[in-house]
Amino acid sequence: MVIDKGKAIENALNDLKMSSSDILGAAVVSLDGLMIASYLPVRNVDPEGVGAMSAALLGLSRKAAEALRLGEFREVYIKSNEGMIHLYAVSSEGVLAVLTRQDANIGMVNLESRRVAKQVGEILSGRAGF
Amino acid sequence: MISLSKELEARLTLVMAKYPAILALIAFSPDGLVIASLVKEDREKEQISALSAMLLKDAQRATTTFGFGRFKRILLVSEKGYLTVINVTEEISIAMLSNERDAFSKAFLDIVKIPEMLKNSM
Repeated sequence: MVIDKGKAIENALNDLKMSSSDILGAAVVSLDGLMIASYLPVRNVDPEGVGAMSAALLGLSRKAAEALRLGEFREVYIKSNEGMIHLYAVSSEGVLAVLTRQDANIGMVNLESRRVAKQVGEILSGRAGF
Repeated sequence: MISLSKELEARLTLVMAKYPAILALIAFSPDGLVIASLVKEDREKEQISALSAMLLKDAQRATTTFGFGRFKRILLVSEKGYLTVINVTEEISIAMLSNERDAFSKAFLDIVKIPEMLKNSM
């Protein structure tokens, strides 16, 4: 059976969504802000805006980590009064954005999201056999 | 009555004294200007406040773009350290930097209480 990279990433995002009811949506975005795959059933969310903002935040976070001598960037979390945005570096290829409820079990979300970020990185780099 | 910046500085000093592994604690304005700071010798307060203000601005835009209401705080995790930026008021935010996870986590619990404490004392 042949599955392309895009489909494989969509499957990984669906698995992530199913892993926790705290996860409202997720997206994989390239470093230049292009949406690679997304699962964003959240109200009033513009996928293009999510892609652009995720890439911008990833770029800025990497720059800040380097300038402040914090080593290689790994993750960034943004908390608001209505939810949380989690961004995970996906190898050197892009970023995994995960949207959760405000009262989410962060430990569980991190565990599942890190696993999927690694999996997506392997798919994008071709190490997963795609 | 002591001013908000003095009250803020006093609270930051308490946190820094409690957790010596914290590298920097800075209160800054939305445009990145330092209001109060406690910074270890080898760190630059202007650099930290400028980068924190940039992160804050993008994070605020992201919460709007993602339809998630009002921004509260951002936490950056790297291989060798942690940076958090917390909104105190519309005009003041706090940035905290550390290389040590345990100290950062404990100090974080104190820092997130500051906005509420200041609100009560205003």
